[in-house]
Amino acid sequence: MTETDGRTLAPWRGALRVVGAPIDRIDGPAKVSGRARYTTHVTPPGLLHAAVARSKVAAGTVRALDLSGAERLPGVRAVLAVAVPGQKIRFAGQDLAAVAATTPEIARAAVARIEVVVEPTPHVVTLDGAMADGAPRVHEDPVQARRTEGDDPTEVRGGGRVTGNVRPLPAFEHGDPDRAFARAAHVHEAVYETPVVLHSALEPHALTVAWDGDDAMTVWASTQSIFSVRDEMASIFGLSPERVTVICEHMGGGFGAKFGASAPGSRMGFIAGTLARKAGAPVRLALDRRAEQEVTGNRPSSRQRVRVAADGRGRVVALEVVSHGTAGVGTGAGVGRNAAHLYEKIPHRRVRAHDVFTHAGPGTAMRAPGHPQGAFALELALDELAAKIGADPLDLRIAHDRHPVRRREYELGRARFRWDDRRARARAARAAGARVRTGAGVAASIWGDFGRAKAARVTVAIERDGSVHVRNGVQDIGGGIATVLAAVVAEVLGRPVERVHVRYGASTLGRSVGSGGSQTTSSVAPAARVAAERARRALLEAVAEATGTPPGAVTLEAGGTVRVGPRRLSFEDACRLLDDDGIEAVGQRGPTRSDAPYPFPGGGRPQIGGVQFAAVEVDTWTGEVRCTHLTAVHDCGRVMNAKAAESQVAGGIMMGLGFALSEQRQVDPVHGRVLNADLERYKLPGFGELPEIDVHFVPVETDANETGSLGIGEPATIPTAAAVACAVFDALGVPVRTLPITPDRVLAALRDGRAEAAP
Amino acid sequence: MLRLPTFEVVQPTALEAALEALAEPDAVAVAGGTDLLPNLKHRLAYPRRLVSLARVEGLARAPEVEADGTLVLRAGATLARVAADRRVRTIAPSLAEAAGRVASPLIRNMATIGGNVNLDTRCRYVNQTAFWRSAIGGCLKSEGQVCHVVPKGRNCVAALSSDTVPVLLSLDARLVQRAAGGRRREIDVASYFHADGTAHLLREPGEITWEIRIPPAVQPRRTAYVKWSVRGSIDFPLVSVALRADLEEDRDDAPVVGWRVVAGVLGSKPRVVKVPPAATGAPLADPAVAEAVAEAVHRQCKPLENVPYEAAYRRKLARVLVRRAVARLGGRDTAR
Ligand SMILES: Cc1cc2nc3c(=O)[nH]c(=O)nc-3n(C[C@H](O)[C@H](O)[C@H](O)COP(=O)(O)OP(=O)(O)OC[C@H]3O[C@@H](n4cnc5c(N)ncnc54)[C@H](O)[C@@H]3O)c2cc1C
Ligand code: SF4
Repeated sequence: MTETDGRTLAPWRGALRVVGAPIDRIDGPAKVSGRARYTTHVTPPGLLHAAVARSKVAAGTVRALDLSGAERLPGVRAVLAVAVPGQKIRFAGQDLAAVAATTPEIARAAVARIEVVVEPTPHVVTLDGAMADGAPRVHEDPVQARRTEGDDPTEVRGGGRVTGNVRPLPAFEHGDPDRAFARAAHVHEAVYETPVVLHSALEPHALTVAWDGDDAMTVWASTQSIFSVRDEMASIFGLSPERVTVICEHMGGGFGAKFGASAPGSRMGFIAGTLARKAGAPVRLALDRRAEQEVTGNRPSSRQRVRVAADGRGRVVALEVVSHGTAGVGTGAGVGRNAAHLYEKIPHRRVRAHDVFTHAGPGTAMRAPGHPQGAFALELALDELAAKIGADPLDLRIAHDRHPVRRREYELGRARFRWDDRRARARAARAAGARVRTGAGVAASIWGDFGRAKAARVTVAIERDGSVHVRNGVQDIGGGIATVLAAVVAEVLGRPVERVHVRYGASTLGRSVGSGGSQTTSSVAPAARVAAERARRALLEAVAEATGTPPGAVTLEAGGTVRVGPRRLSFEDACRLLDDDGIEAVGQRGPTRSDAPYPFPGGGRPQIGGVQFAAVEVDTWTGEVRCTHLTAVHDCGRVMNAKAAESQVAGGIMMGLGFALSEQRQVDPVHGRVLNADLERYKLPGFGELPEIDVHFVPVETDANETGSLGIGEPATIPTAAAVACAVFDALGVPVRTLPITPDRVLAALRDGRAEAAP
Repeated sequence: MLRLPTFEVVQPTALEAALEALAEPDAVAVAGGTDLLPNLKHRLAYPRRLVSLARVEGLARAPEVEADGTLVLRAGATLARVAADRRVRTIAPSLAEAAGRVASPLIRNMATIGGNVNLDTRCRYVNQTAFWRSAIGGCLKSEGQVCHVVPKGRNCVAALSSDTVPVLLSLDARLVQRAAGGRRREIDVASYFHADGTAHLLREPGEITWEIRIPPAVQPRRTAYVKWSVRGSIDFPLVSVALRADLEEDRDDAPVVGWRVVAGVLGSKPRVVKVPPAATGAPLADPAVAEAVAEAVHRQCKPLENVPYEAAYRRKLARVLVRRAVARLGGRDTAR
């Protein structure tokens, strides 16, 4: 563990006073009362509003731009050509030009007067189309994969040679799958598909830039990573990062699409910063919903051919996934770690994934990149194999998993969810040919602890009036890190949470991490503990000195009372003994010291598990699927705030349900435009769609970092859609192999599958 | 965000002042705004002036029951209130149910019953952004000259999408309409609609709906509202059928003596379904009764491709859901 001033910081053991309890979030009152200031609420004096002219065609070449119509419009203060003649257009919505004006209405009117001649060329937006012979090439030149802090940092990088529009991703191979398939007693093979889905954060991408002279600026951004915005703005405009202040007080969601100053498909930072400089006034660029859904990233699609084989004794012996998916013009259509590493007792495993380029907005990290897609195909294929060999899906999973915590989670879930009961009831309803069937399914999560050493500098200050302050530049994207910081410091100093003031959300408050890869808590909370321990020791030393007591005789008791020899001082009275400066201590996290309870592939860090059990009701007449119950059993090291952790899991489940049952981006093949780039036709689930959710955490004590905390944001959404799809298979006896599982697909599966024997 | 065009807003408190303001050309009434404002954002109209009904005295008064048993709703009552009101739930449970299933809780807190009765018709080709429509050159109800649902048609067949209109019609409700200069008329809900999606309300210029009157039942009855939408949380109806069964006696197992069945989301006006004699004479629990009503709905209600989801699917869905709703009224379990 980290040395703090020569002493070793022992890991926490057992239950704690504050950390781990259900704690109300400290930003809650501001949010529910409407006082919370989000990025677009910040209105510096003289603020101008930007709007961007975007390409209406999906492919072509820019021939000419005429900005004069916009320039002449009263109220317009700056006009900027973003594209240049000769430039290629590769997706509808691509940046062409931008304006800044005194009102958003004028800015839009000005954009409408910008004339851009784009010579259209044939485009291709479907997977089949892009893979066909003679398909229009999306990229002529080699493609640089764009990676953000939302991606798994341990993933093997690079890609193979591009043929046509297809780019192979690094392959995974273990054992000798070909030989194993050739000898296997039972082989199941099928194709599974998942659509492109959209992050759909309620708060769109937004950025306000105010220059301060030529060499400094303040940027308010809706972002998952304050420091990546700072560094990107500094690099675009040739500034020292120290001269760029980035502020994000409150966030309305990101899910992987909000890293850096640019959106994945729009150069927002460059546009806002340049317009602000040209106009000599602050500029706000906030995207509208169409742009948000079309150009700011998405979860790539997948078409996965899965082969899975068992021997005569019911052991799964080989697994192969060959996947093609499209991230539009972008990269990253992989299928996660599931098939490669979840069931390590399958001796022969192979995964080959490919990016297929299409003329559509770029994909980007979306809550556990690749994993929900991979989980869906893998777990449903496994259940189909289980049905063939007469195995229970839950037993089959436990038999092939090496992770001790996940195996325990399966067993806990079996009881909490009443797995055996539910499966028996599903079988009975199937046998009786009931109109409304029920089904039960289970699926698992695999994720790593990506917490980083020395990535965050947290300051803890104790003032003479007894107040305690925590400072760090981290953004709270909704996960509740600010509350966790308060809890950790309150724990160490024996204070109530409400007496600890946290300042966060600004680059001036000390270096911090981006909120991707589920690493925020495990990177920042340990630094807070180290800082708090230092502050605590400094306080005790100061009291000892002021009272002439030997240092060892001054201690801090639970509840914050300071014991000085035989005397007891209240925390406030003890602080009065400090000099005017009070105490200020800075802490950083040490390196990851343990991979207990079980290593992530590649080693050196813990693997996070998690399993989810879904119960569904399927109406065989109307084809409707309702998820009625979801039991989620997860682990994330030491839980920092029981309430926030549970709510992360519930949010992950809600997102997973949308992926399972209702969400899909639809692109018109003729015009190459997103047809449902709004929240009316893009069907996010609402509270009415939610099942009863039962969240349970398996406590894990790990010495990986000073707080023993691991991540939960992403693991929480990985298994949901897979578990729902498995449950639908259980209900019907026939699988629906394409997400989302809509009524038409259920009815078609029933019609086509009637001939097949029910399991 | 889509933005509103510019317009003037007046917020009168006296009814007569509101009616006078509405008598001006280019003035449009706005109540909760949950239908009108999205339509303005989509550039489906450019009114010069909006006359807010939100502060008009008496318009939002709580539901009342008159001496003869007539249930009176003022047009400004919110749907949340209508859905929760004890009197409405007792006298007209299917109306409370329909009101409670409109949109989402947040919208029901703003939306009014008057706005729901006067809701514009909807179509997949028209409730889109102006940009989206420009790709197909608009249609009869927007900027164009053709209909994309019935390509050779001269008439717009956009769908009546109000959840409460079919129910009100099934309960023989009447509307009290008021206009400037003390003009007042009372009409059947049934005669307020006609089959032209661009102007489906037989509303006189400058007129507003003031009151909705539901006469007392002359016969014991059971009512239900059948709605299907993509999500339960929010979404317009894609199947919408109001059911009213009149019974010989006030018992669940009493024979049915008559039906009033009204469907929405077909064309631009609600359709009254003719229910055959086979659906009467037996109790609601009799499977033949449910079957006969469902069959009649299926035969007479032909959805169009004007709203999402295939017409054929919606037509079958209506049959299934109506059969189940009748069975449920008769106390039968429908899950088998
Ligand atoms: C996301 C979403 C989902 C929706 N889902 C549904 C749904 O499931 N079912 C459904 O029925 N509706 C739905 N709606 C539409 C709308 O919310 C409701 O119909 C609502 O009842 C309209 O009432 P309002 O007071 O908001 O009307 P407004 O928007 O204020 O008015 C609607 C129309 O009625 C006119 N009007 C209003 N009051 C009067 C009056 N007293 N006299 C005469 N004319 C009047 C207005 O001029 C306007 O033309 C939905 C809307 C949204 C945005
Ligand atoms: S029914 Fe025809 S005319 Fe009417 S809105 Fe739809 S497409 Fe337009």
